[in-house]
Amino acid sequence: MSLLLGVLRDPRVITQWTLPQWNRLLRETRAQGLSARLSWILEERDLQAACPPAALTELEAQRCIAALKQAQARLELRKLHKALAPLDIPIMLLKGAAYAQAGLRVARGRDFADLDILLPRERLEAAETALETAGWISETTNRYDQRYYRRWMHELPPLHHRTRSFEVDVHHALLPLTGRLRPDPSRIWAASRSLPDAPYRIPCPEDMLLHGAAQVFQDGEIAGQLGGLLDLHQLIGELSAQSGFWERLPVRAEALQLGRPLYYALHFSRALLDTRIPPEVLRAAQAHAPGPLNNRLMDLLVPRVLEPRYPARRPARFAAWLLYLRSHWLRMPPGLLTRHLLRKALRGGKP
Amino acid sequence: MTRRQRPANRLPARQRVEYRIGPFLVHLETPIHRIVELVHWCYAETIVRAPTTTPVQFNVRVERGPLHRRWLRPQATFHLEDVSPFDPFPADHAFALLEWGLNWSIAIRAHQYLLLHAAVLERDGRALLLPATPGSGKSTLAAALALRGWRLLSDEFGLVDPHSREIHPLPRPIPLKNQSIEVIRAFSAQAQFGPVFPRTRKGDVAHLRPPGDSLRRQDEPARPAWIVFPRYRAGSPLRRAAMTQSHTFARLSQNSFNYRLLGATGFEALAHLVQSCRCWRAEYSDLKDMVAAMSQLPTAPQ
Amino acid sequence: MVPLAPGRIELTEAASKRWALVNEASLAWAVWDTDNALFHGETGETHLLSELPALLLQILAAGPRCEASLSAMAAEQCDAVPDGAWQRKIRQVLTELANLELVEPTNRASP
Repeated sequence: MSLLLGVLRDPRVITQWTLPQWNRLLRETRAQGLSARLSWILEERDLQAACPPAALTELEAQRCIAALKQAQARLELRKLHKALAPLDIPIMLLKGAAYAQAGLRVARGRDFADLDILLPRERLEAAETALETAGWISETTNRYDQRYYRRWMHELPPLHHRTRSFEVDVHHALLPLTGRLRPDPSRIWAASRSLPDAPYRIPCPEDMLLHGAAQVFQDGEIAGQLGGLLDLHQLIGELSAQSGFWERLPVRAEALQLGRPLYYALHFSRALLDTRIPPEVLRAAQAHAPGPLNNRLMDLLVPRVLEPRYPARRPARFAAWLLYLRSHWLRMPPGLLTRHLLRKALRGGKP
Repeated sequence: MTRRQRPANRLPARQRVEYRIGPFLVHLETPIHRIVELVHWCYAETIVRAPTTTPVQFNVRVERGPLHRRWLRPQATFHLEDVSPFDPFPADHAFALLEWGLNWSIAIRAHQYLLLHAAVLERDGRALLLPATPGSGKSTLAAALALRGWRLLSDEFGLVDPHSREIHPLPRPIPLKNQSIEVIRAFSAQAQFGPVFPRTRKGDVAHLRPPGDSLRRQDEPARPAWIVFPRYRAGSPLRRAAMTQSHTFARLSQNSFNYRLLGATGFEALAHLVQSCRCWRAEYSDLKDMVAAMSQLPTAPQ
Repeated sequence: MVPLAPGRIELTEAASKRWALVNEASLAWAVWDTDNALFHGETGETHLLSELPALLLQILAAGPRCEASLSAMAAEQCDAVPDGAWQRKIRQVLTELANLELVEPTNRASP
């Protein structure tokens, strides 16, 4: 089994380790981009003294990357707020930015590529104009891509400000408009919380977890998403400390049509990371499990692509390809899917 | 899509070697035996022969390029674990490729240090930083100083420890380009050069072996004392002018590989570095004059 | 930077606006003869500042101030006459500092 998964399941295993095991752990961790997060997890468990000093130094040295991204996100958010506040357009933070601003442990060392925000759909045009006036530029000039985003997606094409390189993803829904599952954004807004010390909103704890689950298991390609699964594992650990979380979660999932991604999240987080989940919640989620065949297939494929491999072996690539197709199938009606994949292939992008 | 493993008997034997470069442990694996010979020649004092107690920071491989190119212009590729950042190089340049690959590896990962793009030399426990700027001739100057009694800490990286505020050695071969090779050969009979790699991306390159003393003392850090921005200009007399601390700070922050990334830690390390050094720019054309001038630098009033 | 040429009325209105540092705890200074380097952890940016902006930030480090009192305090320390030109200059520096996200308008009380 992967040593990294072993440490994430129970960090205390490292106290028994010899040098070859450390060398392998470091390789797996670097390949997954989880060095900084692992360093925080070890620190939270007070296990630094059990690490070879050079290993600890290397892991901790990667923390600066996430710290810089968080600072850049704060700057970007202040600028977005300045552009949107005069129009009274509220900003809801999603994913990494939400975790960081809410001060959650999951944000420690967590790198993120771009800033994800949710805006009310009915204010989207006003917001787009205001952002354009204030200097944000769309990164997509390709007209097919522009149309693809506008007609089928849950977000605008990525934006960046002309004086900065940080990418902003403006969402108006949690999942693509063409997808099979379409949680109603107005419900997310209604349940959201305002932050005590910043002028932004964040989703309520249940929605935060459900969105993370949908990201990994509905919208994403799953492969290379061990970080995404670790998000879910850490979010569950932290958010479930709030009273009533477990009672509300399955009900909320049902209301947002996110029962299936929640099932996968709980199932795989427990299977791979040993996440503590009350049996009655698991039973409730089970009602949203896919049919037995599909379930077996996911059980086969998901651990293959999520489990860090050393050395990397071939079959994971094939499993990743199947899951990539699946993620697109979930997002778009079949006719549209072949058209989109074909365009991507013609443009020489990913398969 | 799937590439089958070739039968083992057609693969050249792979060689492995572990060696220390300053605070880092490198594990190299390659089928190109010439590289391993050069590593042994360059790093003889720091090759690890007994089992170590510290983990490997850089698992690198230099591989042969695609099979169809093996006879016509064979190529080599550099790999840091699963990442291969560069286009293939001509196989003859594989050692230069390895050295550049290691520079890249350090620059993207060694954030426990403020990484300055500079040569560093030491005398009496005091470090002299020579930041790299285009046309500075920093490597030639570093080579000359290393051949005149200064201890070579590094030709490429100023590793500033933000906690101890000392500079850590990273002694490695100095890649000299084009005319600099002859200049240094003429400068000292003790200069030991590896093979000349003709027509690389940076012109003809030959590596000057780091002095044995530098390699043996690579765990001994030094206190920063002087920062000199050198500038080689043909025909120019030696001219030295003091630089303000804020100007030095601004230039070094742009010269660093990871200043921005390090946030407050980088700021404090750099501010303190500038505070504790005397800072100049120096223009020269005669290497001997410049070497002599570096030996007469006044130290900071502390 | 857009040059500001505010009329008298705007000036009085804005003069009562109170300014504060953005996340003061995340500021780190390096002070040299005339120039200052400032690191702002809130945004991860480093700024090289000349004397006047640095002085305004130092005054605000003691707590929020309205523009009029900032302008008066700065004039006293710089031996300047706090006339209209001076106030416009202060206004301009504050606008620049606000663009860098170093200062922001606030409702917090003055010290």
